[in-house]
Amino acid sequence: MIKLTENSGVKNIKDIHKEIKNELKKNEEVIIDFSSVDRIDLSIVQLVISTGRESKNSGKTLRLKAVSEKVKYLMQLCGLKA
Amino acid sequence: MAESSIVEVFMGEAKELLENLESDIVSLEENVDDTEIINRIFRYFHTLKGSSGIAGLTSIYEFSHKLENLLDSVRSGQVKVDKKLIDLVFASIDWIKDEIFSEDHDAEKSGKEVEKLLEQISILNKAVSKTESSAEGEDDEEETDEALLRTYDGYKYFRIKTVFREDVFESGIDPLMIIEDCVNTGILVTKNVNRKNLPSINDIDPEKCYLSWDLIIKTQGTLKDINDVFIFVADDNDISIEDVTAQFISKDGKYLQDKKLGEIMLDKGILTEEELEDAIDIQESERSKIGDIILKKGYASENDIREALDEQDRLKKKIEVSTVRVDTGKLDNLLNLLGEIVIGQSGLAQIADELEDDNETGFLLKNALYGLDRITREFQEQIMSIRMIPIGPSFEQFKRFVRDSASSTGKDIKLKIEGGDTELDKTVIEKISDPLKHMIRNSIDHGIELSDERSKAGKNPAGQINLRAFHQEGNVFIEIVDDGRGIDLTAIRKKAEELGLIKEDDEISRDRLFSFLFHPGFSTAKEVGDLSGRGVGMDVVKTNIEELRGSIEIKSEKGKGTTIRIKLPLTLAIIDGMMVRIGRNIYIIPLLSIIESTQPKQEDIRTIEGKGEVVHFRGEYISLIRLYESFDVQTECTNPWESLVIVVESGATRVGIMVDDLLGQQQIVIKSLDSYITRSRAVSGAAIMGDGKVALILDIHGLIEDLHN
Repeated sequence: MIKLTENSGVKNIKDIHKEIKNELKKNEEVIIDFSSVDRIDLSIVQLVISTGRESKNSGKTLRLKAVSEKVKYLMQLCGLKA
Repeated sequence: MAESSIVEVFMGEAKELLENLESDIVSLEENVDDTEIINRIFRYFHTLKGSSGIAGLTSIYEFSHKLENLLDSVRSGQVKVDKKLIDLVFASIDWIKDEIFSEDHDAEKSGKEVEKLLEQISILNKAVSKTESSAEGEDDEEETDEALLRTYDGYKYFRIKTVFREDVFESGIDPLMIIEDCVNTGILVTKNVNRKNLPSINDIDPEKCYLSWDLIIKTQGTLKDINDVFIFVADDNDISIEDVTAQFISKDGKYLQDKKLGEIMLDKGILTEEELEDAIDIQESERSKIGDIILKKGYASENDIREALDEQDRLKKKIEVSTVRVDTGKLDNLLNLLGEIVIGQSGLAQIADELEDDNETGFLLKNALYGLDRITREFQEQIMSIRMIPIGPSFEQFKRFVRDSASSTGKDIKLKIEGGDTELDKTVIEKISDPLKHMIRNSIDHGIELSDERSKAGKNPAGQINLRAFHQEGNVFIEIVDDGRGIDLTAIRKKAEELGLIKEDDEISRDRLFSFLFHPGFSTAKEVGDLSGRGVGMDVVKTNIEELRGSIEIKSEKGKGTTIRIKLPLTLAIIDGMMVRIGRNIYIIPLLSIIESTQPKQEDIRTIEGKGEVVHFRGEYISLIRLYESFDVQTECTNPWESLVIVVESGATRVGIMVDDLLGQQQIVIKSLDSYITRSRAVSGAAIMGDGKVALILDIHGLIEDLHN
């Protein structure tokens, strides 16, 4: 499980990217925990979309945990379904 | 656009929508599981709701919204299509019609009616257990529709396209925050996010920006307010902001761009963005149809794709329809102006003819005029084609009429429509509607038998009325065919004798007997019903059709049914006319009315008591009209045997018109005459000839009526 912090964003996106790639390699299910996150930037959303695609293509599952209404709304603005 | 014109536009659209609705609801009653019809009905209510909102007609907006919800439940299979539902929807349509079109609108009565309807709708809607998904979808839609209501309260629509630089994050800018700010300036109407450039998780550079947006925002703010959102990125990024308010208002409150199939399926929630992107990627590599790819990948069913294609067609048609909404008065003016050009051209042709044959200028002028003539004719055809519309929608409105009338008479009757795409001048279509209704009413009331009677006669218990239209020999024919009991010729004869129209021992042809049905006050019905049998109507029908320069005939066989055939000209603005001379004046007789011309012998002319002067023509004596006397014109030809007699016909009546000479036939642009110029029913209009002289166009029907009077 990848736990995002309130500082997660473009500044540490490379680390998050690395973490996700590792998780995808190791596990059948990738969980990203948003419980500490009030808002996200575009770099996070892009990674979520890309991870979702990869999971689907490789038959794995991506789960987004504890997504607040605000974060959900921001994801929707990027074309993701709630 | 002034508010009154918005309402006018709405009324025109509402009329069309309600007619379509009525026709589709009758079809739905016959095919209760047809999802295409259900979807169409839902969309009609949705459009009615949106348009009424824009026109500021809140009561209709709110009522349509409830109906739309009900239809949505029908669409999702939660409410069954049965007689109760159909009756409720019809009653609702009647209420809407009354609200929009009634001239003596009774607000109190209308309020009580709508309360009852809303209660019934509410009972049906309450029976539906709301699912989470539908609730979510409705919330979104609600927001848009509420927004539509306020379109004219200072709201504007802006289309914002943003393509950020890949390195935009390096400037400390989060594009998502900018998009959020932009959306916060108003209400998000549509949103397309392009995620095609986003690489896979292994190839992505997470510090780069890959997404771009195409948004439409409705806002009370100004263009500057939107520009301010992008102030820090406008220079380095590809940002375009466009005011598209006009497109929204002119397109009934909807942004009607050419939507792609995938986008429609995305909007409808059939496809996810991921699935759409995947399908587009495959399409780019395989170059096959997106619908086939979606089906192959199992992202949607064939039915879903068909529905989306229907939606796409509907949007396209909507754009087409909105581009041809032209005031017919303007088309008439255009045609009149063209008529003037033709007249000027004829004048020039006359001058060219007067020039010597070996005159080079004359030769060149004639050549130039031939070219001009060709273009003018083409121009004329184009204008005429704009006035032509298919008769189908006019026919469709009778579906409900037949359903309701059949139900009130306790009969089972189906209406079959054929040739709905037959095109006819708009004015003719508008004027033919009432006569058609009357004749269909007659078929229901007198023609089609009750189911028991039909079964006993070995017929299908359900009667059928066929309404068909077709083109033939430059005319349009409309037929109303029923498989009912047929017209009783003996009863017609008896009634005609009672009225003194014929004598007991007169030999009368079948056609002439049928023609008595068009006589004022003629009815063979034993009982006067709500629908017909009052002896008024068929004479009016005939008059109306003849005013359109058409004709009507009846064929009927006892026990088998009746066919009423109406022959109509393609257009009212131009006729084929025969120019005739009387003295120094020229008159035009519509070719449609002419049987033939003849030069009678002296012994063919007689005077019969009660009939006046007659001429012997093909075995019968027909009235002779001395036109020079009717119009008080000086002529040297006052003896019929020295003149020509043109035999003309209106209905079953033939008369001979005495003229000095035939000048030839020509297409005539009709100019209407004001009533202060002539009150004579024998004249229907005028035409301006090449030399600038005016020729009167004879109205044969009126001429015969005048003769009888």
